[in-house]
Amino acid sequence: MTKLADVMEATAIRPFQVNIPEAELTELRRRITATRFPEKEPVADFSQGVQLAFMEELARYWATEYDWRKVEAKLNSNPNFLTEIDGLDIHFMHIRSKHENAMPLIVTHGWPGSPIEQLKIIDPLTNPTAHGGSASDAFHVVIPSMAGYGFSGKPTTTGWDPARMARAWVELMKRLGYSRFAAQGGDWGGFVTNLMAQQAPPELIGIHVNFSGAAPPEVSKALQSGQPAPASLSAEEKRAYNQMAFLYQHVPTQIMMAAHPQTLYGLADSPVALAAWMIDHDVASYGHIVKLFLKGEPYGDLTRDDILDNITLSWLTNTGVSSARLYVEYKGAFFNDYHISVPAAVSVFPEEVYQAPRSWSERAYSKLVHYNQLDRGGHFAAWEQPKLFSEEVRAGFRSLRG
Amino acid sequence: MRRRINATKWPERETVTDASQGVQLATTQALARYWATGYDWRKCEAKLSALPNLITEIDGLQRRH
Repeated sequence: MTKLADVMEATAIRPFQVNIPEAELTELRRRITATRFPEKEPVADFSQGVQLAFMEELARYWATEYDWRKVEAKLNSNPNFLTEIDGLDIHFMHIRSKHENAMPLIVTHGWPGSPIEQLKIIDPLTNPTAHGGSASDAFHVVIPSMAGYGFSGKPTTTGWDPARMARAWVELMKRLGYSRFAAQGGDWGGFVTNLMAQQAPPELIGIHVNFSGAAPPEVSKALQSGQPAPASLSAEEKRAYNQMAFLYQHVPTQIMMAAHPQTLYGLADSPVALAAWMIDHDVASYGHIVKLFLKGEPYGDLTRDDILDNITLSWLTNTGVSSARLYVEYKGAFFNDYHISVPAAVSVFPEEVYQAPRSWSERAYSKLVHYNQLDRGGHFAAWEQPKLFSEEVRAGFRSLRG
Repeated sequence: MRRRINATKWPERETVTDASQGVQLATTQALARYWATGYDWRKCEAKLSALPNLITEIDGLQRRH
């Protein structure tokens, strides 16, 4: 093969379908059923981590009632592709709107996530007239799996940090023929989106984030040195400061992932270890997930199957460790102001790990075109509150359409 | 235990050439291979049992099987 043909092959966009062999699903159930559990925690709350009674119920449901084929069919009902960018295969879904003037939008998930988190927003964003919106609100949606996540390739060398992912996404959008596009993200997807906005490629129209980097430098500095909230802060800012200070003390799994992701062998070997690790994310979502499994209490639009879809995807692709590596890759601060000057929209959900005040958001995003505090929803907003989330994305980009 | 060690599903190799990301894959695989094939718990058990071992309840703590 000539060198040119090699390059063309690498940059080709290859259709992709999810088709997990039945033997792998049988083996997953076998491993869940064979789980050796530890003793019950000696406390009556989440303070020692994901609780035994909940994990036993999750394992029971996962091994006996859960059906992976349903989400596999949902994934395959969308066009899926692979393309090699910067030496790594990137998986993505690409759903074009029937509306010609739709705005191209790349949406990035976080940890512990995958494009499964975005399945429910695809139709509201691409087909808004069927969901209470107008044709002028339509998006062409691109949903990639981050490097090391889901069906994307796993980096074999260091360097795939959120900034590199942001550059890869710009290349992906250009490869799809989009010369102007917008970007959206929460959790790590918010970092990727913020960093893309900081890189400010000429193709980027603007961003929408539901996990913003907004803490002013002096606040970020005070946080990192563990000081109490500066006296100059307003009540709302003080609340955000205290939420961030709490997080600095309560991110046990994240600390491990940022230090020694390779030591997490159990995530590759035990489905229950993987599930517990992925559910140990934040206090609010944990509380909801436990009540969902143990009492059947609703958690927005999230079902038990949704939760297990995401975990099962991670198990089947063996990405527990490769996805954790993103934490060791990222060297920046966690809530800092990125000094972004491209147009930006910020949605603040009440159960997110912190609520970025408008005052900080206006400083962090000099062209803040939309800021809204919602009355419900949390860290997994697109997944929990797809209708509200889609309305926020539409509202956020409305003023940026040409 | 040997069955579980032999049935281990492994992650990929670390993306670095040192222990900075934790216990390296080659190390863990070598340990697992020896553990499943060469290691003999009974030797350690015999050493423990060669000494007088006793149990008593203190402050309510009981050993449960």
